[in-house]
Amino acid sequence: MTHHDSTRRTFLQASALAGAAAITAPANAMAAAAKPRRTSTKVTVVLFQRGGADHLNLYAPTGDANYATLRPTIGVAPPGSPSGTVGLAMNATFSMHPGMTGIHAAYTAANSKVAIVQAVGYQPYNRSHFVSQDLYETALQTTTTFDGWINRHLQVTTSPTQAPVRALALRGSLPVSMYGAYPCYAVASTQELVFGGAVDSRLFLEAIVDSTVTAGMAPAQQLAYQSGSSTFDLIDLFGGLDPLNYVPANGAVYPAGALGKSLREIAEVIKAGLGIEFFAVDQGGWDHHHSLVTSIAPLAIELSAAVTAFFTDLGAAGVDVVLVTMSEFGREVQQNGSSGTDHGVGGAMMVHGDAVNGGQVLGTWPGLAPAALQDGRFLAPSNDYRDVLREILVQHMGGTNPATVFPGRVYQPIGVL
Amino acid sequence: MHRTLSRRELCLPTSVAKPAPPPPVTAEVHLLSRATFGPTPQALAEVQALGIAAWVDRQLDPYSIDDRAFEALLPTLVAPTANNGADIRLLARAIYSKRQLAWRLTHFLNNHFSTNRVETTGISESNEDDTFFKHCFTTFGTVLRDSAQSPAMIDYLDSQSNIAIAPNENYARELLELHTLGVGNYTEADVAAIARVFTGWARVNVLSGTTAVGSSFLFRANVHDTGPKTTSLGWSTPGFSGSAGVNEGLQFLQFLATHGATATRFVTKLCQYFVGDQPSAGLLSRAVRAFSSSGGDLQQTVRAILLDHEFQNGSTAKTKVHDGFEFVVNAVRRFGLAAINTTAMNTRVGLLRCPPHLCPVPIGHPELGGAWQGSGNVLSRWDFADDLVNDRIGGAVMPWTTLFGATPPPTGALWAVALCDRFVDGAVPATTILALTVFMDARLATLPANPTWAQVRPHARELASVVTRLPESQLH
Repeated sequence: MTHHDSTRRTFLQASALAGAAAITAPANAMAAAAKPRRTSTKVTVVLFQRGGADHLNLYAPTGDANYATLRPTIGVAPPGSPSGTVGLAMNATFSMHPGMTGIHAAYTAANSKVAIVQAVGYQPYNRSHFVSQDLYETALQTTTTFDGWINRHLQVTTSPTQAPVRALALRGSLPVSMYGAYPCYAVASTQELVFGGAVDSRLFLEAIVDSTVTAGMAPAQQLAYQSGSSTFDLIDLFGGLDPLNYVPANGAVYPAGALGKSLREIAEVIKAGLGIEFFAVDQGGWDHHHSLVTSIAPLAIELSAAVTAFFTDLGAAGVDVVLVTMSEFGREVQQNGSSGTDHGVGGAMMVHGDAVNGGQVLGTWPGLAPAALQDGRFLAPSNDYRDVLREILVQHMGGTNPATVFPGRVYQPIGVL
Repeated sequence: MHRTLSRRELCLPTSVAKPAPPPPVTAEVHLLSRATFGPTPQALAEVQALGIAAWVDRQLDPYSIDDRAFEALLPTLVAPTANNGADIRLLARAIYSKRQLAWRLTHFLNNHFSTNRVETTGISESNEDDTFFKHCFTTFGTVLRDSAQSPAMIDYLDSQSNIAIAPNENYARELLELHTLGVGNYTEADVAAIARVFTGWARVNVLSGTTAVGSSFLFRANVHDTGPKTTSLGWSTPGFSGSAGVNEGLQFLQFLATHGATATRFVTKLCQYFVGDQPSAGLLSRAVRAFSSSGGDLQQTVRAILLDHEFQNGSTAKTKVHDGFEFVVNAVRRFGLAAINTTAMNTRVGLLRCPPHLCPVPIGHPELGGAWQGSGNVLSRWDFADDLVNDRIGGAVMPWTTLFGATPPPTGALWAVALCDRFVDGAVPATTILALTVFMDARLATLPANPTWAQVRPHARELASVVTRLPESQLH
């Protein structure tokens, strides 16, 4: 029970709603009541690259002699090459996809806040999209239970600001990372958090949803009530925002498309100080079994432009924010017959945030020599994704229960933060 | 974070200690809510006249049902070659076809063998739907082969570029993981071997003059890997050359179609679609037996599910969440909306995030309700419902007098019951009926005696806007 909530409920009571001929409560009064105090909260944004991103073309090991041999026509060319997809220098071994100019600039800047962890994964690996996404999001060794790592963290901690909503996914439904006993919220766009129709219809429906006795109903029916109730919660909590007319700060320009829109909306929510600690957002379309070069470029450009705009827009508020990318696997090292790549094993994660040990490719790099490859075909998953998440959770979010969140994982430091 | 208001605060009767459970949905209505895209008075009359078993059997023989009037109308709605042609045709069939059960199953199969028209073509999606419909009551092996050779699937999962010198594993993996056995029942080496089995499976454009008007399956023997392949599944092939090379894939598909793991996985999904998110072990085992003992006969399997006593006893009634497509079609059918603009309606299906040929991932749209209960999905259904009852979508006009009589119902109680019966089969708690009654009575009280429809209609829309957004209205 939070103060904005009780204000709303007090108002509802005063309206004696069910029989009221017309309830004339001004919507802006409710919006004002819904605005909690401004606070500074540590925030983690998890950006999931759905489909299995080809990280060997995003953070390309152009300095590894085997790379060009395995990817003769689709690989990124070393910096300074006269033609092809010419990479942006990161260090002696790696270069970044040329579409990622913004992230590259942040990576190479003094006091860099961007680190890349290459050769990320887990053992035993799984090359199914759906199984591996579930593993990355549950952070469990098997997916016999669907309990997300974010949710487990929320279960054993409390909101530093008593915020009513601690985790929000900018998606149509919750990601697996937020599945579990702790109530998390999902909406594809904060612009959707508007009730279509008259105010009194809304209050009336809300009262029915909240007051109906659901004990004894089937679980699916109870869930339908909870969903309705959560929806009203979000409408109230976000009542003071105006995502449609939000103007990014510091001249930030978000790219067109879903990712830019989602990160722009997250930036507005973070600045509003609602106390939300975790955001999840997706960038889809990374399953490039064919035509990798032309398919991956627009996604790389979008990713870089959106993340760059996000931190530009956040400005000073960005000191509390870490953004981490993940994908369910990397791709096979050798290109396939369709100028694409099939599902692989080792991938990469990007970590962007004030306290990040930036400007480096972190973790163990196993290399692409034939003997170093997993099963002779895949980048070996030398660094465990859970260790990256653990460092963010413990050192950024102040988590104290990594053993609960990452059960069974024996931590191997990576040094992201 | 919610506090529950007392009934006093709600102006609801406080004497009711426990609300009466909602009236049970009848077996006939429950059947229609699952075997069709939404009950209509005509369909209900049919079930009542024929009896449940005879109605199911009639639906299981779709060509015995005269649907010519509707099928004749179909080409006037959209060309099957249009980008969104398959979407609109499937939507129109779901709303208007009398062969409801066959289209329900086709809708399921289209999603089980999910393809995305961004990477295929409108005509190949249309043709694939038509083929699934034609074969939906044959065997699983038949539709599995239809899917494997469908130009839509060949484009979507890269069979076209799967060639001997450079196999592409995309189709082989999803065939094993999603279409048949499921994860845990094959190895990575099997994926690699099966990709080689399907090398050379391709499609070719069908030309009219020099214009491509569609495409059809083509086996390209010259790019087929003719070597031997072995799997951990107990299936292997010595490898065939020439045109016989296609038989490797055909034989393997037949092997998969009759595999026990396929039966379990596919029938479980089918039961989740028709029965509930967690079908009982008993019902599931009876359905799997019907499938396995009949060689994967879908007619017998669907019959076994719908006539199972656990389906019939209504214990799972009103427990399935409508996905967006189902919510739209259900609402249009229940309100009897005629002459809608199916293109506009299809656009709305897109906003509800489950367009049938645009799923972004090969696993298809989720069958389980949790996926459709995020606030964004809830709001998109609410917005649709509000727009629909206010005549704001695609020329659809609420037929108030057809639904509720030439004279508007005079009391709030009559309104509440009539709307809930029409849209939710009356399956709402008594407390909600009471609240709706008070809500409508307060509005009727502002009107003169014997109000006209023109006077009542704005308030009827308000009430309908609430009823269509009730938690119970999200379920079927």
